[in-house]
Amino acid sequence: MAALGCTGGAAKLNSAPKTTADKWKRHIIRQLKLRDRSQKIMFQDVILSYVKLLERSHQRALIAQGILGSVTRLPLLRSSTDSLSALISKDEDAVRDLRKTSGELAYQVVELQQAIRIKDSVLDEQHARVCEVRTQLGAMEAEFASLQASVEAMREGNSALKREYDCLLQQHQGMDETFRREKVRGSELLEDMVQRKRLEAVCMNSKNEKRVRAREASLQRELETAAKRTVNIDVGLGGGPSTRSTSPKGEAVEKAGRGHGRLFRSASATSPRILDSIKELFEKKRRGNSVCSLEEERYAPAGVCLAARVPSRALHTLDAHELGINAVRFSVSSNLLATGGTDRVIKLWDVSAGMLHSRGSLEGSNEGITSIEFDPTGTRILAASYDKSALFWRLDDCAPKFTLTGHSRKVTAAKFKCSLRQVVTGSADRTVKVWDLHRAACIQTIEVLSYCSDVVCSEYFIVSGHYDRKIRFWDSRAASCTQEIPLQGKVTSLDICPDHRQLLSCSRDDCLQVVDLRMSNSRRAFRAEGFKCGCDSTKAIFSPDGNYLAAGSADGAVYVWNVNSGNLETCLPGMHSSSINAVSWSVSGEYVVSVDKSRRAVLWSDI
Amino acid sequence: MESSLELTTSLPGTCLPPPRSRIFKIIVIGDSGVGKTCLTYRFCAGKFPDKTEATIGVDFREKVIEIDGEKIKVQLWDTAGQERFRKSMVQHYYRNVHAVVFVYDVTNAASFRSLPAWIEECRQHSLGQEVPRILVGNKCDLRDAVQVGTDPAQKFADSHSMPLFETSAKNPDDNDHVEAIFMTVAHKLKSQKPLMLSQPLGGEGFMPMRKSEEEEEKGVLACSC
Repeated sequence: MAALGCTGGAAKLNSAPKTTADKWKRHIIRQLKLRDRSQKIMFQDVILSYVKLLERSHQRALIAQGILGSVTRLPLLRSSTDSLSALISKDEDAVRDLRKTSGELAYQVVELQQAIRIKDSVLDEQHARVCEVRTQLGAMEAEFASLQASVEAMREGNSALKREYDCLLQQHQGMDETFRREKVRGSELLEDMVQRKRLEAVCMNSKNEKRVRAREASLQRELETAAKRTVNIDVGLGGGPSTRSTSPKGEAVEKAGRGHGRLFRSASATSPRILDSIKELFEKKRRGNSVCSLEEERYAPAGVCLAARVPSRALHTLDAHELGINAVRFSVSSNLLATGGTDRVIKLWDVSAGMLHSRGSLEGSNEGITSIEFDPTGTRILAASYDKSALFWRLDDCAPKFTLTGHSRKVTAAKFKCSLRQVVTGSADRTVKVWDLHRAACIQTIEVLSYCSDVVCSEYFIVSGHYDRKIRFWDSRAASCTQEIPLQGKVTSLDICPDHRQLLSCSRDDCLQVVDLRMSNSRRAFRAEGFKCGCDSTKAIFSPDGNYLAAGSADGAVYVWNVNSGNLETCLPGMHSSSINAVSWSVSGEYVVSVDKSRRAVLWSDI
Repeated sequence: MESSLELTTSLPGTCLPPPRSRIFKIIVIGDSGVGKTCLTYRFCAGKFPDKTEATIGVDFREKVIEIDGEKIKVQLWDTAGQERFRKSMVQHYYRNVHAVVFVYDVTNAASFRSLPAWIEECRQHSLGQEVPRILVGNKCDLRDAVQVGTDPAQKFADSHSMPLFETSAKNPDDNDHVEAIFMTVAHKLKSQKPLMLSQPLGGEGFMPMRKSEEEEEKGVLACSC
């Protein structure tokens, strides 16, 4: 183009100096213009097509530029070499440009490759890191597992400890309980120990007393033998001294006592002198016979009757009470008599010179007396009463020492047991009770299921008589019924022979039966024409020697049988006008007393 | 304790002494821990016990002594000082007792102060005035710890007309001092009591009889004097 422009310019310059003068100039210009116009018309097409070509080549260059690396075929332009060379140069420029561009591109490629390498290395690095992290993770996991294991182990350990703790706790509880038990046991043992010591002390005391008494006894024996030498005292009289013969003897003893340091003095100022003499005589006899007077010996019956004398006539008759008399009993050691009646009092009588002398009365019962018993020492009285109780007096005191309450109906009988510490009662409430006198308390109750009318005691058993026509034997330790004896009627009374070998029963079939206690199947019945059991509590008794039986009849007569022969020994009618409730035989065998429903008491003897 | 057990077990063997030998029952009473057991042990065994425990109930110790040619058995009742060990058996202590020995601890004023209570207990069990009593202050070997001086003790003893002895079962000044004390009592008893029970048997129903015997006894005494 530039070349084209130059060429046009040169042509213009050629005409320009010709037109310097106006006319010429203008002429030349016109000439030139005409030449230009004529020449120009010839080249107008070429120029136009060149411009077009140029434009096209420019476009092509652009396209070639757009196609990377492609060889640009220069368009063959026929028009002119200039334009071709221009085109060539242009193309060369374009090629150069393109080369440059490709170089740049190559550089870029290199750069990019470098970047790729860098990226690769970064990637590798990251891979390595990932690996590293992964191994770390593995380690962590392992650690975690081990920690978990240790946690597990710990937990296990804890539970083991807990178990151990529980176990120890349990052990502790067990120990604690043992401790408490042992403590209780300890206190029990202590109690036991104190109890034992107490018994030991009691034992020691009684041993001491025994020794002292043994000494007393031996001393007394010596004194006695000394006394015997001067005054003849017949202490061996077994049949119990009669009242008449006793008093001189008592005085003799008194004299002897005074002579040798006054061995015996009256027991108390209030009791009758004669009784004292008897007491003393018995005392003396007992002491004389025993080297060591044991306590038990004191309890043995003092008087032993060798031969009872069968009464034959009434010595004395009196109305002893204000109402009917239910019970009568001689003292075991003397001729002291006690009667008890519906009028609630027990009266004491002294039998002397064939008469009954009143010695006083024991009060305290709220209802009538049903039975009386003396203890073997003769100093205490036990009575059963309608007021559901049993009463216990000492003879030196007219108020009852104890009242044994506990029965729910009237007490029909109250008897001492052999131990004397205990009392047995029978009652209409169908029980038999055993009482401890020291504590004044019931220690045993035997349920019988039948009205108990009387009880008697032997060493090892209790015998009770009942309205269901049976006599029952009880083991006094076990409270079990060991034997039953059936009878034909309601049992009204029982009595035991002084030697404890025979048992007497009286029943409403008007029959007395004697049972041998050693062979209970051996029974003998005693009846008599006219003998009729007057009431449900008629008392029949043995004589003190065990050879006779005595009972009062509904017709007011006293019947006496001989045990050995089985025959009626005697019948004593006429003194009572009503049914006889009870009879008693003195220990000396000398007297019999019968009492009846119409308050009369009759003293019988053989003389 | 052990010794008493031995004695107790050996008693049945000796329960039948020569009939002529007399027994003096002497009870030893006082607060717990004053040394009653040691005192009686010292007298009967001649030595101080190694180790003692609280007496439960009563321990019996016996010793046969000879006075004027007569053999006499001294029966010491070593009683429990603690109330809970003696409560149920006090009455047995005082039954037919011939003499009473009150013991206090010279190092323990409280044991001295409770003596009136012991004397009162004696009185309650109706011990007659004729029963000899003596007062013994034990543990006088512990000179530094003495709390009860001889003077107040002597005054107290005088006011109750008892002789006072201060001694030590553990370490008596003179080895026979404890023995001498009991021998004194025994001598007094022998000269005072020929043979009888000192009090009526508290017996069931034998009261009057026993009384009469005592009267008889007095009669004998009166005559023989």
